[in-house]
Amino acid sequence: MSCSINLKKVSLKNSSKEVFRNLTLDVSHEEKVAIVGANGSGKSSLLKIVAGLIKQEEGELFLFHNEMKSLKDFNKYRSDIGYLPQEVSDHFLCPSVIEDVMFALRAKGILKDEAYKKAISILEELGILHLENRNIYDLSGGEQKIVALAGILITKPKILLLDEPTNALDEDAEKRIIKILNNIKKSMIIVSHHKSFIESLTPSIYTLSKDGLNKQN
Amino acid sequence: MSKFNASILLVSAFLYSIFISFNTFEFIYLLPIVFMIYCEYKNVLRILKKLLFLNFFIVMIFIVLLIQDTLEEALNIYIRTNMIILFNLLLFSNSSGYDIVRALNELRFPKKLVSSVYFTLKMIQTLSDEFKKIKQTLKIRGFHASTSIFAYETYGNLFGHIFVKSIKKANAMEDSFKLRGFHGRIYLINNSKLSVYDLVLIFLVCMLFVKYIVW
Repeated sequence: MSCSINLKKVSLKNSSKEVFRNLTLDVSHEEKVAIVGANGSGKSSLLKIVAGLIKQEEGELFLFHNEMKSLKDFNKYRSDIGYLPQEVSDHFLCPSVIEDVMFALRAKGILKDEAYKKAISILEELGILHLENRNIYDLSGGEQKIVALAGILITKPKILLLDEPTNALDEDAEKRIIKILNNIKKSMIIVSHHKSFIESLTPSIYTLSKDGLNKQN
Repeated sequence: MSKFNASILLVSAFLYSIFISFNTFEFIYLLPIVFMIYCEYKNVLRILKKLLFLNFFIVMIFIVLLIQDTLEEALNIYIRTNMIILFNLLLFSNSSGYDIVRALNELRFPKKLVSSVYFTLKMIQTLSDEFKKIKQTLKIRGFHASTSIFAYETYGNLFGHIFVKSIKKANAMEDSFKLRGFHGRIYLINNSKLSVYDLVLIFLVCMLFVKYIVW
């Protein structure tokens, strides 16, 4: 099975301390990997490294067997990487649901009508078509997460990076997210504190600590 | 939800403000305001409260003008300022800031201006939400406004917190720009329609210009 993401002996430091070192991880095609760890262990930073938002201190990162030597190298793979931030309101770039879901396609130069059709179909697929014309900022936390996910999935990324996708959601919203994510066949790295949530998604669970990743049995 | 088309509101606000700024007061100029009061009668009290609050500042201008000029001139400017502010408050009382972004987009303003206004509004909303949260926290934790050093330190911390938060938010937005392929414009769908209210409003505002030219 070909690997979508390879991290080899990656280390990260922030201004005052070492966050983690010697982190090695391989994520295969359509494999789901979950990462847990204490607060401040660098889970979100790790996702940002894979998304090409920050650069690791040491080590190598490969996407689809191509080494990412600088942040510029990620530009080629932008539409292959879908990143859902922890604070989902930061993700939105348009005022209404349909406009935001269409955004990535319109930015790629796809015509309005075609982008609209695709956005409607993804909203339908995720069961949120009724939110089409709603103001994004009036939606509940759970609805916002699913809308953000729709905005990511519309470009058909090969890799999904999800930072606390069920953070501050109620049980129903969490179940909806689990159902959606279980139906998505893509390489995924999921960072979460919710044990039951990640266990319902994947058996590949790693704990992040200063010394890197340890697979849980 | 507003009865009016956002573009009509924006154009009416601009035309009426310009017209009133350059003309001396006449009762007929109150016609668009009367129409708007009729349309927004449920919110009139709330709007008048806002106007009353803003009058603290307008009265200052009135006093300065009174000292420098005649009572008639000061009164004229005082009334016209109130008319412009009241009309604008009535126009935008029911619309969210994002309606203005939509209006700018419909009126074919430059794309970069539209997206800049949108992100400015988004930032204002985020920071005002943050400010509300901090105010609540201060209340819950027993803080009382006073003139002590401690109170001023707390205010300093509060503004510092908002400043740091705004930088963090700006960085998070920048990340979103990179990840989602933003290159200077947002894409909005123009699907708003004109209602009878829009037509009456723009007619009344335009009539002021016609009246000025004819008489």
